[in-house]
Amino acid sequence: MLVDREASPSQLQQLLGTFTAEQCRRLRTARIALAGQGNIGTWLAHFIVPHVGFARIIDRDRIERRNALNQCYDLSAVGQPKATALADALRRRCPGVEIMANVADLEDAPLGWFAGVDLVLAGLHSLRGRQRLISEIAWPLGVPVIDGAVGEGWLGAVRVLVPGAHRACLECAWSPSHYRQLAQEFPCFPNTDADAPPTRSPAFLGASVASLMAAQCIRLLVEEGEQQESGTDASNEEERRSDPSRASRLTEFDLSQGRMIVSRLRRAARCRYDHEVIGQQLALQVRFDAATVADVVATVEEHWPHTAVQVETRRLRWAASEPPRRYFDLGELQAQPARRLGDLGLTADDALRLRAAGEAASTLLWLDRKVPSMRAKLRTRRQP
Amino acid sequence: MTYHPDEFQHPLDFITCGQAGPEPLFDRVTADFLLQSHAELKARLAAGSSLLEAVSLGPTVPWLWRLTFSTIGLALSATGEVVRCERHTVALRFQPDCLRSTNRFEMLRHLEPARPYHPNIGASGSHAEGAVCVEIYPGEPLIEIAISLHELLRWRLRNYDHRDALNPAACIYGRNHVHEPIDDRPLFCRRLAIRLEPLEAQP
Repeated sequence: MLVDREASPSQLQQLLGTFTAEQCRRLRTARIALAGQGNIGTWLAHFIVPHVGFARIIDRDRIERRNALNQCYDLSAVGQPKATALADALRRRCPGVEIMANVADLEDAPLGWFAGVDLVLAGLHSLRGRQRLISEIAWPLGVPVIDGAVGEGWLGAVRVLVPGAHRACLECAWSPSHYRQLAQEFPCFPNTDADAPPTRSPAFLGASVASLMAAQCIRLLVEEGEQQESGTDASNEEERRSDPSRASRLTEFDLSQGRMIVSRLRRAARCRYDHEVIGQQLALQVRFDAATVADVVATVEEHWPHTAVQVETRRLRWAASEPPRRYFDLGELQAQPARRLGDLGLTADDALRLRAAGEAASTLLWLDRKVPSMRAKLRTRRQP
Repeated sequence: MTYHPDEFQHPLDFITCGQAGPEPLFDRVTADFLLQSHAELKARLAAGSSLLEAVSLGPTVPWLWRLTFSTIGLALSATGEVVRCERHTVALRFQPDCLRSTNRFEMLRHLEPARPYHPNIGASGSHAEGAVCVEIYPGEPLIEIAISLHELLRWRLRNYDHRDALNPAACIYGRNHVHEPIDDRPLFCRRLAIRLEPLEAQP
């Protein structure tokens, strides 16, 4: 079916039923990211992408012949990267939607891919992938996540996680056994990606999870947009916490028994995750192509003069032979001021996470001044 | 809980500090976990003889360690022969998120012998040189990590599939020649309370 967005502006409103024209307009300008294009992700992309304005599709794998059994791919696309094949199919189906495809592992995904999206949808099969996407990317950026999963038998689950200091995160429900399983997913080779065996489940189960995710996604996009535009998002934290529609929640169902349970998730007192949503964001004031380490140092020193600052990034390598590191101090950066950021493995989509000594909160330093911060985006959206 | 770093005792201590980078900022919970791990290990080492020499190199938090094992393992000689080796040194560093996520390649670095021979240790000259593949789960105490490394070095823990091994040659060698752990001593021993007394002359 070709979704012609220009020819029938009320088509979406008729389809969605209860939403107003204004809500549908808001939905059509929404920006989403979809990570994992397997049994859940392929169906979900077809359900949700026609209704939004921008979609980023991320997957590292290629299509295999066996995927045709339970995923929405043609046999003619066998061998192609899943992300590009799905993006091509969606572009043909809904030409008005801006779609970007990224063939990459989430471990390598820069934060810039997720800056400015309203919602992240995840259909992943590994704990490490979930932890990376939700805890290390989306939550610090303040982007809500809808995470879908299929289980043995005909079990499915959809988890809605709304970032906030007092809200339940992915790891609030984790026990020590989850962390042990996480360690088992790491490979025996350096510089290869964590993995877990794929979940074998029928297409109708993945599509059922995808349907629930799509419904939650549309609801969240419309409601979040309304609350942002009315200015209630930052004004009253207590109000946000007590509002059940904004709480993290879990929907579990058993298709074989026809049962469904919805639970509201609460923050666990012993959760190992810091739940920090990064508030302050900076950007380099020079073009990334020309940016050097000295520009980073100057920006940091401007904001924290005479203070020890820790720089966290996954990509920076002074030399290719150097063992992987994530934490650097300003003194190291000051020692090599002339090095170009691009030569050190960084990209324009990357951001450095800064933490000054004695401060509990982090700051993000975007390396490309064009990358919109979440706060800038919120300000833009509130303008009439 | 007070913490004092150990003094640098070996040239490898300087190399370890240089490669590990500056000390990261640790939150209070993680710092307490590291201090507790440090105290447990030091108490265990003080309680009896051990095959382990553990040197804490972190200036304010015990996040960086040089672990030297007297475990008997295997290495390659200068002529390429497989020989027994009684000294293995591994650098270990804990990251600020070590209670949530542990990447073994970020945490461990094999330092000596120069040419280790084990399926789970990257061979010298390979792309995985210095890498050690041993399972460390988030929040695992230091003593348990040390025991896992000891079990690995004495060939009790090892990868049997050469296609998935950091050192495939060692893996194949092990399948053909190493059928028992090379060293049967435990890492930590109890101190024996033996008192020697002269025999009394029989009347």
